[in-house]
Amino acid sequence: MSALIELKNITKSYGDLKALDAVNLQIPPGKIVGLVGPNGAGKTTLLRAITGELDYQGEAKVLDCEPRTQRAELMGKTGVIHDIAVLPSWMKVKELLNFLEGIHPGFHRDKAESFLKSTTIPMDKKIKTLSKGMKTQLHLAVTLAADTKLLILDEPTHGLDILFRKQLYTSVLEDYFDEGKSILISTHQIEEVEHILSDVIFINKGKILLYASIEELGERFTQLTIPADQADELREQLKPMSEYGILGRRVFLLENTESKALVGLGDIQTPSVADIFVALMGGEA
Amino acid sequence: MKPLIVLLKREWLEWQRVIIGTILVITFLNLLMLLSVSRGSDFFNQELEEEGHILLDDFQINDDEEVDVDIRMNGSDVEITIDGENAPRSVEQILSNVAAPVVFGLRIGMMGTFAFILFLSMFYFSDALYKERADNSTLFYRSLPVNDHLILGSKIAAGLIGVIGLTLFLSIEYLVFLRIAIWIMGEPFTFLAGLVLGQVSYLRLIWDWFGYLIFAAIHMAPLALFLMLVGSYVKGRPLLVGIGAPVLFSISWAIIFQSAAFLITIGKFFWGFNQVIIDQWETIENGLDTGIVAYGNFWAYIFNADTAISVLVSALLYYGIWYVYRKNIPTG
Repeated sequence: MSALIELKNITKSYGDLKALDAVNLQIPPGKIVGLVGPNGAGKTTLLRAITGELDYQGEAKVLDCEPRTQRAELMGKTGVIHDIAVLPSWMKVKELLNFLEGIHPGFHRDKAESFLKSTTIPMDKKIKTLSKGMKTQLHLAVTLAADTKLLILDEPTHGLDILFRKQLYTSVLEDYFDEGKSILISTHQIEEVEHILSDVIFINKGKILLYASIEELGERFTQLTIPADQADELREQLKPMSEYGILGRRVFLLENTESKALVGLGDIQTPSVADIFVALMGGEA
Repeated sequence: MKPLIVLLKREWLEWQRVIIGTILVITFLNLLMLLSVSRGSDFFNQELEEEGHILLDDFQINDDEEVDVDIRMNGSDVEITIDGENAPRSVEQILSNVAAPVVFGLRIGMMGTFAFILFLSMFYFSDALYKERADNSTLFYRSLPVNDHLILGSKIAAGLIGVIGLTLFLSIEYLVFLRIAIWIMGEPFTFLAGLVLGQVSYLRLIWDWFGYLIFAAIHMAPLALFLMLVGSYVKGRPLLVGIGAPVLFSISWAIIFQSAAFLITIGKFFWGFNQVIIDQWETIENGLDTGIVAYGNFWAYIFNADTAISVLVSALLYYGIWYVYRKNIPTG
């Protein structure tokens, strides 16, 4: 199966700062991939390289297109939602639908209208008069109404309240995702999306720290909760990646440790993606 | 082709209020012209009624020649007596002299309309990309299956179509208003002006004017694209920066190097599109035999060195716009 996204040595520098540092990545189709990293890690830069919105060094192939030179063709197969409101503020909602109907061969107006009917977004209002949540809903509606194979969400819930956030991911799953499609979600709020992800990418300082499926994470990482008085002894023995204390107990995060070897030492659990991420970043939660 | 039409329609949607507002302002000015003409004709008609004739003292017929014109109505006939050292003695001479102010009115209205549209177009070109950057919609347009060149090309095309189309439309409107104004003036002016305007081929006039607008558009393209380039880069106030920066640079150059060569070269280049009109006017001969030619033929001017330079400079500026546009530099 050919890769949906294939990046080889992708590097992007802004002066002395390397926003992307020799990134290599192969993402197969049919996945929901979370791109996780702290602020300034290079998430948005990576997504913009993938969509051909900026120049970079290295080789990239996305949906069989070279993003920089075949951006228009690539955008016919890709939907993008940014972390900021990007819809033209002077347009009315119905003018936006008219515009997209004319410009995007894969756009289905009926789908967008049907989605908008479930919202309170007025068709004859200018986009600049809508609330931030409405703007995101509108962008989501028109993006999901286009026939695309890849959906890229760059911090889509940034600045939205909890109701909108939940609704957004529900819509993406129910109205968009199927076996033939893929989603790449960038976020630094991993708890919000980890239940829907099939794969996860950790990025920091422009480098990919880890790319694995959620199943692989479960097999590779283990969380062991032990009494605090045994911590010194077990720390020497197990060499945890990270640890933290909770309610008088110590929690170890272990990599590549057989669960069988831990039986009887404490409570064994699969760590959350957030815990693994924090451990890999080298911090302590 | 369809995406280009959709993008042009988008420009129309975004700028329609400005375009309609411009039409309304020019129409209002034309109505003011009608009003003043109506007041003036009342004065002359009253004089005609009370005095039995209209006497125009020291009426300027050429640049430095003045005559006294005495107009009388004899039934439906108009009698004109012209006295003065250089008074015209033949019908052709009289017609030629009457033609001067009428053609001047015709030219000045059309040129004024064009100047006004050119002034407004500077706002369009400086804002064309700046507004998209300011509301972040550059990211939206670039997430669509549309080539960058089509997006940029549609903006340039919309500007050109807007300037040329709007000027042509408003020029035709002006000609209609001019005819109405002359009709309102009543006899004997309607008769006299009718003699002149009857000699004007309006199709020829519009065709010549269209040729001039194409020529002027090519000539002004570097300025338009420069403003677009500035609008794709600056943090704020693109028009102020786009006009102010070159002016400051030119003045600084003149002060530092004690030479106004740079300023003069730029000035000469942009004056060029006015100079061709002056050249044409000086070579046009109007008369009963030749008919009235208000503007002259400008199509030949399109293929000259100045326009070639304009096209070349515009191409370089376009490359610059495309290069900067792809970087999507945020505004302040």
